[in-house]
Amino acid sequence: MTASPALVHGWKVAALVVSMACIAAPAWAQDQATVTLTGEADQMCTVGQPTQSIGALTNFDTPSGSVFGITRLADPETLSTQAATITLSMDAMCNTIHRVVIASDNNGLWRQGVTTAPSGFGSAVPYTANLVWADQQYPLTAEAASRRTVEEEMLIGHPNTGEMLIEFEINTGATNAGLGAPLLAGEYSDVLRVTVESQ
Amino acid sequence: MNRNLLIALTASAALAAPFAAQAQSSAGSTVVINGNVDKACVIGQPTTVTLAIGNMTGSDGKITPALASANEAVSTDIASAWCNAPSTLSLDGAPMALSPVPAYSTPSGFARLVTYDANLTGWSDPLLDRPLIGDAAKTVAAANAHASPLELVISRLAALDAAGTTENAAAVLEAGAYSGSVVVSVSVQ
Repeated sequence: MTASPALVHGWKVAALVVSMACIAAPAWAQDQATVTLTGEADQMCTVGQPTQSIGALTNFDTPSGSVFGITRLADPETLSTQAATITLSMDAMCNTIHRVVIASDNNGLWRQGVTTAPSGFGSAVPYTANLVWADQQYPLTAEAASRRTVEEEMLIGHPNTGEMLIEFEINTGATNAGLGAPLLAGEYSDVLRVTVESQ
Repeated sequence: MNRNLLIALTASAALAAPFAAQAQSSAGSTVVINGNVDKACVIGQPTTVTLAIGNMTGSDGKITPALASANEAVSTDIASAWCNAPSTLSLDGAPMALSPVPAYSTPSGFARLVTYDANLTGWSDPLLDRPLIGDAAKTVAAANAHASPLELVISRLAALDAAGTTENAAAVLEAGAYSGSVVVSVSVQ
C-alpha cells in the first residue's frame, strides 16, 4: 500500500519530534568545557654596551665606556699609520626576523678640523670593521676616500641571541693619501653605529 | 452525525462498568511503577572562555617575573558542574604555542612553547596540571554524587624547550601570538 502524501508528511513530522526529544533530554555520561589561553610576545631587539672582547688587542688603550682610544695612531719613525686591532663585544638579542646595520659616520678615522691636508700627507685613516652575528660575518670597509656615512645592512631570517662582535682593524701605513703617507698631526676619530631592528 | 455516535458509545461503556465490578465479591490490583535515573555529569560554560594574558615578556624577552610567579595571571569560573553518581574530574591543558609556527626550527636560546599551572578547585579535591607536550590529563575521582562551581586559575608561566618536555626559564620567547587550551571534563565512573 502506498502512503498518501499527507501520511508521508505526517511521518516526517513524527520523526522530527522524536529527534528533538533526544536532543532536549540526553543523559550525559560525560561533559566538558574548554578554556582557551592567549598571549603575545612582542617583537624585541636589544643590544648592550660594547666591551673589549677576548682576542687580538694591538695598539689600543684600556677601554673606557664606549670610547676606544688608539694608543699611538702614527708610527714615530715614519709618521704613517700604525696597525691597531681590537675586538668589541656586545650582548644582543632579537626575538624575530631582524635587520642589522653597521654604519660609520665618517667612512674612516678623519682628522678633526676642516683644514686641507698638504699634498703627500694623510688626513684620514681607513679601517675595516667586521661584524660577526648569527654565525655570519658582515665586513664594513671604511676606505676614507671621502668623508661621508657608509653602512652595511644585513637581514637575519630568524631570531638570534648572544654575543655580537666587531673585529676592528687598521692596517700598517693605511691613509687616504696612499699607503705609508705621513699623517697630519691632530685628533682622528670616527663613530661606529650598530643598529638592530625587528622586521 | 459521527460525533453523536461517538458520544453514545462512550456513554454505553460508562454504564457497563458498574455491572462488571459487581460480578466479583472482591478484587485486587497491583500497579508497578518503574523509573530510572541515568548516571549523568554536566558542566556549565566558563564565565570567560578565552583568557587573554597579553604580552608575556619583559624587556629581556623572557617571561616576566610577575607571570612566572605563583600569583594568578588569569582565571575563570564555571558556575555549575555536577555528577549524580561517582565521577571522575579531568583537567587536560596544552602548552601555549607560537602560531603560526615559523618555517625555521627553534633557534638556540629561544622558546615557542609556554607551560603554566592550571589550578582547578571546587570539586572533591583540587587538580593541578602543568602541561607538557604528550603528557596525560590529570584526574581526580569523587566517590559520591557531587555538585559545585569550579574555579580555574592560571599562574607560573614558563618557557619550554623545543620538544615541549622540559622547562627552560632562561629562554627568550620568539615574537608572535601564543595560544593554548585547558579542557575540563567530568564523567561518570
